[in-house]
Amino acid sequence: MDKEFENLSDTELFRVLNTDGARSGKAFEEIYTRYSPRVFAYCRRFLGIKEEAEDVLQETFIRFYNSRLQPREMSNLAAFLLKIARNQCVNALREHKHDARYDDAIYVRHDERDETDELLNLIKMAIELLPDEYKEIFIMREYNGLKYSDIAYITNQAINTVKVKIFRAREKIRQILQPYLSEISK
Amino acid sequence: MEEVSGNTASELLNLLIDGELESSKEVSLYASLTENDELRNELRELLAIRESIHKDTEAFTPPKSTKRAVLTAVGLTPGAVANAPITEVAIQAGFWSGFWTKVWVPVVSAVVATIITSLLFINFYDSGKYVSTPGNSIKKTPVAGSTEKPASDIQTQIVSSKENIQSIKKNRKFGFTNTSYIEPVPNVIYNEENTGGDNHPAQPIEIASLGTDSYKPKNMNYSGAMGIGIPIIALNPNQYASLNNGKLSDLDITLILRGISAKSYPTVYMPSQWNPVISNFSLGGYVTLVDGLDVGMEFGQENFGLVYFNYETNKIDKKNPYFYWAGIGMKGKVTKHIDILAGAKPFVQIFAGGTNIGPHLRMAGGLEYSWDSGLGFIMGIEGSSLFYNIQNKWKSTEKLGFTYGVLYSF
Repeated sequence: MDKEFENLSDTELFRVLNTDGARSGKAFEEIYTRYSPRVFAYCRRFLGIKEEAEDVLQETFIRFYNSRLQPREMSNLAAFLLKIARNQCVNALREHKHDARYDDAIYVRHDERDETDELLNLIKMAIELLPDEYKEIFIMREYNGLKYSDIAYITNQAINTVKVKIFRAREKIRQILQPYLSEISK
Repeated sequence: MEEVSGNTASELLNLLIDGELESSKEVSLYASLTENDELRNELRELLAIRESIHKDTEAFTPPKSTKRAVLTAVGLTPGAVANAPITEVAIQAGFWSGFWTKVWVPVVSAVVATIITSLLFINFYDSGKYVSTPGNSIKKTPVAGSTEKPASDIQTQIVSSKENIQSIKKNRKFGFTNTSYIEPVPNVIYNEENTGGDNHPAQPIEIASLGTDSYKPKNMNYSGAMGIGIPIIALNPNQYASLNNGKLSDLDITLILRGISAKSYPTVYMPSQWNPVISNFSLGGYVTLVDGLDVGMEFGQENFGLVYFNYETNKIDKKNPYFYWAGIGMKGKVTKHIDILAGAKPFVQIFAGGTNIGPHLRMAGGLEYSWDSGLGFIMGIEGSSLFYNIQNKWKSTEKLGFTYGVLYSF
């Protein structure tokens, strides 16, 4: 990847994305490189199924690219991408609402030697058990590091609602993990 | 739970680790932390959860293939984008990089096939051996012996049993032998008058064996021999005649079996649903209308990458199915053997047909190593287009690649 593009801010990249074809393509690739891990992490943990997460990741960036020419000032690219991803995830969940879903996160591997890995597997399982409304907000906060205001923008909720949901999501996860966490606290 | 500034201490703790706690409330929270063991344990647990999540590398690692798929779907070639230009000068570099990405498969395949074909051709045919006698015109003769030594475009003198001096010009630039693998076969030289027609088998005027007293090429330099260890399987006259006199009727019929190695655009990186060993092939039959122009039919099986936006599922659909195709083709070729192409005949071929999902066009060009009858080889570059209709929109998939196969003319 070219240094010139690596050093551009999100706003600058988005401007370049709307310019001539060659530079536009490179700006898009830089945006993908920069944000695909975060978008994928959200999709992966929210949907729980890797293949679906890949599909949504693709859809997200294709839709983003196709909408690049619409006039808008891009101040928060991460939030904008996650908003697209979130809509796609919600659609995917709606489509597969009645399907039997294979939740790979609830199968905890027993071959992990490291306690941290074991905790991670338990956390994945706990995330799966969260209601969707808590799950998505918790993932945006913990996996994507988004501010409350960004989460509120993405989910169209009040900041206070987001604040409360994050708190409750953590409470639920701590409850699920309590036997394990109490060992850590000792 | 302990109340701090209108919130529980636990709520404030959550705000603290998220960086959302107002500074005015920090002091009171820190005071609670020093006094409250339960609150400190909660902080440890929250930080442990966060630390574990940061180690969830699997979630943060999207598949590399997704990037290619995205770039292709939006019309950006991955290779071209990776080398996309910053300046006007660099535009050319990006273009050539993208160009090379598209053509490297057929180019490399063509080079490999050229080597294979050359080896086969040299072993099967001696296309450039001519025998001339004083007062007679030149006639092409088949290879009759297999113990030849290499001769780089040299004139060799042959002393016949009748003491006629005949000259043999060898157009081949190189040859090879490995006498440990082969059984010496008598050489046969044909005279102009005795070569006969289609109904009269050629009569040899001389039988000689290389390396014997009766066949003594003069001034032949063997030092440049290329002993690459491939046994020569040149045909003796009877074998050659059996191949070439197998004409079934007055029609000139050619059967062609060839493999197709091509890349699909758009490219779909997913495993095929068909056994690759017996896929991507074509079988055709052609009849010569006039010299240099054949018409016929072909059928084959090949995979095509399909990428389109599915408006029903609101998703990009990617498929890599195999289709049977069939249709009619027309083939034009140079009727003479071209010496600088080692006796090959350039050809072009166009084909129009269909698959079970839409019309199909093909075009190929390359070299054909063949005679009027008998076994031959072809190789060339081939491009094809498949047109299909999805949700009332016509789309197409192009393939560019290399074709290589055998033909048999009756």
